[in-house]
Amino acid sequence: MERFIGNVLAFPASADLTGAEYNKDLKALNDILSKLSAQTLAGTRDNDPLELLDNRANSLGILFSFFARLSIDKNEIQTLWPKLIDFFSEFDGRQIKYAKDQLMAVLKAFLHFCDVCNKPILALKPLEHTIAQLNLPAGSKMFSSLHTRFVKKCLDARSFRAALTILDIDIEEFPPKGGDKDVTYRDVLQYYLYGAMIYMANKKWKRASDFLQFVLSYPGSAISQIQVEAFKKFILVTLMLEGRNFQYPKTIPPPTLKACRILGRPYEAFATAYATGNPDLLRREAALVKEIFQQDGNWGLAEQCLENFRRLGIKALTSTYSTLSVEAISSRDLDVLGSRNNSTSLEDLERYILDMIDQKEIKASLSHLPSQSGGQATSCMVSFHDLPSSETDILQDLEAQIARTVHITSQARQLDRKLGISKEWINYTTKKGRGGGGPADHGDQGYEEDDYPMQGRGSLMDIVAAAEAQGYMAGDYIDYDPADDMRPDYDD
Amino acid sequence: MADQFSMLDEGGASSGNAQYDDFDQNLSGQQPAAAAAAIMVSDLPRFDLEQYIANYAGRMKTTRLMFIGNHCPPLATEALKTAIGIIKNDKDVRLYRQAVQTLQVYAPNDADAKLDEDWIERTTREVKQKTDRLEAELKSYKNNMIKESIRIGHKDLGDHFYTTGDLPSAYRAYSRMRDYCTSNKQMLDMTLSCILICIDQAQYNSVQTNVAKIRNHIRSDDDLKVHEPKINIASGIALLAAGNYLEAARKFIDTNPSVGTDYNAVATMNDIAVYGGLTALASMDRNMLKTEVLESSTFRTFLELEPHIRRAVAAFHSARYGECLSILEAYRNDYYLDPFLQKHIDRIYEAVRTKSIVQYFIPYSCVTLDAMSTAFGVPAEEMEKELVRLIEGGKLNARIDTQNRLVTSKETQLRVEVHRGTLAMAEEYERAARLRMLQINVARSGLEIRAPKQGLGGGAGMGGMGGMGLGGRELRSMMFGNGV
Repeated sequence: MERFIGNVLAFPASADLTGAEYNKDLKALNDILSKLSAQTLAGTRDNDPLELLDNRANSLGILFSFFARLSIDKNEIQTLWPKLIDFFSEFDGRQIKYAKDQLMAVLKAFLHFCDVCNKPILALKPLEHTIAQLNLPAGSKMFSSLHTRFVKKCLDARSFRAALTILDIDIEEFPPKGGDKDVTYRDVLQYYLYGAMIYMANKKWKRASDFLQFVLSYPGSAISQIQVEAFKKFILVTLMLEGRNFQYPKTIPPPTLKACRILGRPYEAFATAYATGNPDLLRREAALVKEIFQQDGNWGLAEQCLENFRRLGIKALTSTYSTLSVEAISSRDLDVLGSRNNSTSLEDLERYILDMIDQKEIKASLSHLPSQSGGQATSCMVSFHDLPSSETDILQDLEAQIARTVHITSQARQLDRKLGISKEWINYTTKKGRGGGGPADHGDQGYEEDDYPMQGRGSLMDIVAAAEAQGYMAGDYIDYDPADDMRPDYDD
Repeated sequence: MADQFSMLDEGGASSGNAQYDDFDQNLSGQQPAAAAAAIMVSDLPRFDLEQYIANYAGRMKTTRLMFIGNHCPPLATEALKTAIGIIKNDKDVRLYRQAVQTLQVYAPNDADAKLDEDWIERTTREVKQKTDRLEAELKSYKNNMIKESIRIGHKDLGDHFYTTGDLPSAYRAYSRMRDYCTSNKQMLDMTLSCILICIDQAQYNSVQTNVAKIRNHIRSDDDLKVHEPKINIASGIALLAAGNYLEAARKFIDTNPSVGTDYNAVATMNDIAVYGGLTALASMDRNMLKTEVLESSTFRTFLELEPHIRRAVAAFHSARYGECLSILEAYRNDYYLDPFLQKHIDRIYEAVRTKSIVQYFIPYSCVTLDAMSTAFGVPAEEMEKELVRLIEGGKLNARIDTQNRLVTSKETQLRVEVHRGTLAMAEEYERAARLRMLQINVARSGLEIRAPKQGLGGGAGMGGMGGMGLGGRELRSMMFGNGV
C-alpha cells in the first residue's frame, strides 16, 4: 500500500524530464500499477489514496484507485461522485496516456450515474476537461466520442453557452482508422447536428449553418436519417440567414440533396413561400406545415423565421425609401406571426422599428409630424439613413480575415502533405508507376503533376485554381435504403 | 391594394439575381394576359386594311388577314371575307374551314359564312389526285436515278403541299431536296423555302438553323446582295421571337433597303422599320440609338417609310421620353395586330419605359416625384409604384423620400463595396476550405456513412471496413473537387 503511494508520488522524478524520459517513466509506473491488486489500489479507510494523492500531480494513481474501487463495488459511485467531478475537471492528460481504458471505464460509470440521477449538468465540466486532456497534443481538436456526449449533455442540461467552449474549437482530426472503435459516423454526425442546435439556441446562425452544411455534405455511400434532420433545420437556418435569397449550397452531394428533398418536402414548401415574400402565402403555408414542424421539434425555429420576416422586410425598405410613414410600412403587412386582420397597431410597429434601430439593424430615425388635417393625431415618419461603412472597420475585418485565410491555407498544406504520404496515395502512385508505358498513362502523369499544386507553392490562388480545374467529383453515394436508416439515431 | 403590394414584393424577391429572373418575372407578369387567350383590339387601327394587305404576298396575306380576323372585331368581317376569297383560289381546305368558322362568330348571316361543301369536296379530291400524281411521278424519277428530276419531283410536291396548307409535309419534301441539289442556287432556293415554312409555322429555332446553313452556300457577291436581306429579316424575326431584342434590332438595321418587295411573303419594308425601331428602342441606350439607328445609312430608308418610329427614336435620343412613349402608345393597337409583334409588344413597351425612367434619372441626384410624373404623363401614385418596382428590381439606383416626395440617387461607395465583396469572398473560401478538410479527414479515418449490411448488427458494420479505404487520388480530389 505504502509502496503504491510511494511509487505514484515518485513520479515524475523531476520537473524537467524530456518527453522520451517522461514517457518511459510513465510507462513503467503504468505497468506497476496495473499489476497491483484492486484491494491495494483501493486502500483502506485510514489510508485513502484519494485523500493522499493530488488530482493534478498524481492523476494516474488516482485514476487507478477510482478504477479499483468501482470494480470492487459499483455502488460506491454514490459517495465517490463529488470526488470524481473534481478529478475529471483537474486531471493531467499526459499521465493517462497509457491508461485510457481505465479512464473511459471510470468516466462511463460516472456518466451513467449522472444519467440515473438525471443531472446532466454535473457531467459538463468533467467532460469538457476530459475532452481537452484526452488526446494530447491535439486535445479538443481531435474528435472523440466524448465530443458527442458532451454536446448531448449540454442540450439535456439546456446550458447552451457552456457548450461553446468545445464547439468553438474546430475539429481538425478524427481518430485514425481503427484507432477508436467507439467513434462511428453516427457520433460525428450527431455531434455536428447537436452542435448546430446549440448554435441555433445561441442565435449564431452562421456557425449553425456551417455545422449543418458539414452534416449534409458528409461523405459516404448512403444517406443517414441524421442528415435528413439536419436538412430540415438547415432550410430554416438558411432562411434566417439569407431571407429571400434561398438556395442550396453546391457542396451537398446530389443524391443526398435528392433524398433529403423528398423527405423534407414541407420544409421546402415553407422556404418557397418565404422566398416569394408574399405575407398571405407565407401565413397560409405556415399554418399548413405547423403540425409537421411541431412533430419534428422545429416549430420554434420556424417561428423565429417568421418573426425575422418582418425585420428583413423593413430592412429591405431601407434600400428603396429614404423616408416612409409608419402607416405605409404597416400597410405592407409584414407581420406574418399575427393574423392578417389583426395586425399590430401603429404604436407597436413604431416601437418595433425603434427596437431595430437600437439593435443597430437599421440606421434610421423617427420623427412625429403634425398631420395634415391639423388634428391631435400625428403621423410618424421614418427616415432611413445610409448605413455608415467606415473604411477602417472593414480594413480591420479584412486583416483578420487574411490571417484566418493564411492559417487555413497552411492547414490545407499540412493535410495535403499527410495525404501525400498516406498509404493509399503511395499505393496508388506505385501501382500507376508499375502499370506504365501506354500512351494513356502519359496523360495521366500530366494530371498527377497538376494534382500537386500545393506542395511547393501553395498559394491561395493555386488552391482555387486547382479546385476549378478538378471539377466536380461525386462519389457513388446512391445506396440509400430508407428502411435501414430510418430509425431515429438520437432521442430528442 | 394588397395584391399590388404582393406583386411588388415579388419583384424584390428576385432582385439579387441577374436578368434571367427579370425575364421570368416579365413572363409571369404576362401570363394572365396570355392565358386569357387572345388580346382583343376593339379600336380601329391606323392602317387601311386593303392597302395594308396588298403589300404582302403568298401565305402571309392570309396569315395576316386571319390574324386580324382573330384579334380585331371591327375589322374581322372584312378581313375574313378577303381571306376566304384568297383561300378559295389556293385550295387550302383546313384554313378555309377555320376562316369560315371565325367569320360565323362575327357575321353569321353573311353569304361567305356558310361552308361551301361543294368546293370543299371538289378541292379535297383535286388535292388528293394531285398528291397521288406527284408522288407517283417522284417514284418514277427515283427509279430513273436522275438527280435533277428527283429534285424537281420533290420541289413540285413541296410546292403543292405548301399551297394546300400541309406545311409539315411541305417542309419534309423541301428538306429531301437537299441531297439532290447540284448547284448553290438550288441549295439557296431550297433553304429559303424551308425558312419560309418555318416562319409560317412559328418554329423559330428551325429558322435559326436554316439561316446558319444558308450562310455556307452564299458564294458570289450577287447572291449576297439578293439573299442577305432576306436572311437578315428571317433571323431578325427569329431573334425577336426568342426575346433577344438587341440582336434582332441589329439584324433589322443591317438589312439592305434593296430588298424592296422581294420578301413580302414575310415582311414589308414598313414592317422592318417598325420591328427594327422598336427592338432598338427596347434594347439600346441613347448613344447606340444615335450611332446605330439614326445614323445608319441603310436603315434610314426604312425609317422614312414609318416616320413616327423615326420620331420616337429621335425623341428618346434627345431625352424627350414622354413624347417617345406617347408616340408608341398611339400605335399600340397596330402592333397588336402584327403576328410577329403581338406577344412582345407589352414587353418591348415595358422595356422602353423602364429605360426611359432610368435614363431620365441619370443626370439628377434628386428629382421631385411630381416632375417625373409630368414627364412621363402618369399620376404621381402610379409613378411611385413604378419607381418602387424598378428600385426593388435593382434597375434604378435610387431611393424614394415619401415625406418630401423626392427621388434621390443613392451614393455608391465603390471602395467599400469592393472591400465588402472581398471579405465575403474570403469568408466563403474559408468556409469551403474548412468543410473540405473535414470531409477529407472523415474519409481518412474511414468514418463515411455506409449502408448497414443486411443481417449484420450495426455495431459490427464498422469493424470490417479497415481494408477498403478510398484511393489516395479520390481523397485528394475530394479536397479540390466540388467547386469552391
